[in-house]
Amino acid sequence: MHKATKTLNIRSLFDLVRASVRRLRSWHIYVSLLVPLLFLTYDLLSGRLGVDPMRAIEKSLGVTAIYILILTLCITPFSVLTGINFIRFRRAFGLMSFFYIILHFSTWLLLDMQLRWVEIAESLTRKPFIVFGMMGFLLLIPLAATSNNYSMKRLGKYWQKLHKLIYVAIILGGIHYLMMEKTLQNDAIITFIIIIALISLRFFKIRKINWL
Amino acid sequence: MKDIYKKTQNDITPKHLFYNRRKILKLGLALTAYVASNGITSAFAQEMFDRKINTLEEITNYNNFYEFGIDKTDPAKHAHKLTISPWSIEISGLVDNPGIYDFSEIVREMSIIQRTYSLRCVEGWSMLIPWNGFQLSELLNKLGVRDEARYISFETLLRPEEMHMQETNILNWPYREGLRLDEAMHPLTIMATGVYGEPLPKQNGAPLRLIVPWKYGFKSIKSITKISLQREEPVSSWNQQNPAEYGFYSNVNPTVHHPRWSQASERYIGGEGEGYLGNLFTKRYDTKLFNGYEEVAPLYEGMDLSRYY
Repeated sequence: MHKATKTLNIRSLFDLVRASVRRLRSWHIYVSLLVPLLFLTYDLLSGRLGVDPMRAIEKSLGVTAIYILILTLCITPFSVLTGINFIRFRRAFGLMSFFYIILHFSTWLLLDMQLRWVEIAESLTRKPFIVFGMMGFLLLIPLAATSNNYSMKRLGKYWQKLHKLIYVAIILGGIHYLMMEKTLQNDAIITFIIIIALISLRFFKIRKINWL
Repeated sequence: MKDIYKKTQNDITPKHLFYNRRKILKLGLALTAYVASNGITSAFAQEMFDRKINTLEEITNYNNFYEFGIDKTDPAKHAHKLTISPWSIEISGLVDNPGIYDFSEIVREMSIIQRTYSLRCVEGWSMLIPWNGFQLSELLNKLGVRDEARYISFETLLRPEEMHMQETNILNWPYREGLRLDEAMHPLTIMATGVYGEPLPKQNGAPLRLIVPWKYGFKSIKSITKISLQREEPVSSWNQQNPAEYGFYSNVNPTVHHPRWSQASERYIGGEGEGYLGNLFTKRYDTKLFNGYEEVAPLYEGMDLSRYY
């Protein structure tokens, strides 16, 4: 008896969620994913970024990018498990992550390295920490470029294959984060574990949970 | 942008810089006099310091002190837990007067000096910090270093109850550092007991830390409790943790490749302008060999600095 009421409640709750997700539009996602940038700007202007705001901005943009990419990877398993169709928002998540990576990379180029090309070239070729990050970024460029409907139609079955590169890119990003400081930091380790866990999910067949 | 830093005497100096300038000038003069009397060419020319001295706020809120956390804001948050009184320093090895000394007992004996040094971190940033303290050579002379001694080693306090990161294994605790004896005896090498004329803040390594301005910041070990004179090259923590990246010498050297950060240039923390937005743009400047302290070059004559990095 008790169990039945509980199930019923969860079910109605999910019906509610499903109904509101149906009303969601892509632009809602784009706009809400600008919120981290808004917070960062607020922190900068109110002096909350500390003694070295450049480093704080650079790191924050990178971490935001990687977490939006993680959300992107969550979409398919989440949709399958709950039966709530979120897949149409995958593009918005992916592109917003790419947007943050561009900001992160621009911060590095302009405010950190300050267009000192000799050092930039050295970093891109001889410093593994930078090389991993850069490779991840490069791999995401074709994905962003082919994220439109036209390319999806044009590429057909190859589109799926091409977009599997996201797994490689996010692992490279995770390694880049792990190598950031002189020693491993907990935040980066946790992030890397989440990434590996999400990718491992792909090896299991996920089904919709019955009681949902 | 660079032109700002090439001001002539006729240009107007902002008031807040003026005070600093005078201090720098004074220090510059004193050191030039000192160096001149020793007959070595001076890297203490005033232009070397023609940049803002970092504020106490900057100096105390941007620290690498891994005992209190990895983020540079962690030491300011956690270092208050450190008990610095009483504080004893164990001096052992090849000295005439070994023993366990009280910190205040040592400081009382020393002549306190002021030195404004550039602190160059291996991560590619630097600060200009007005330390006070005493020359390590003065302490060593009082202790009486035996002829067989070639190196000096230092250890940071080991007290996980107060330094929570010592419960993790990110480094092989306690933090250890060392110098060759001639490096330790060099007049530029000091033991700092304060900044801006005040006792050393805990996040900066209270009550006593090493400052070796021509080496990367991590050589300048904090909160020292043990000093030992020895024959063999001592262990240093970062060298132990990652020998490919951190050598025993770790002299600031723009030409020695580092696998993680560019050492060719450094960002001056504190920025070019005023306020929070002024802090945002931290211009890069070319890093100089030995952090600009050329007078230490004779210490390394004939050594291949890319091999002994």
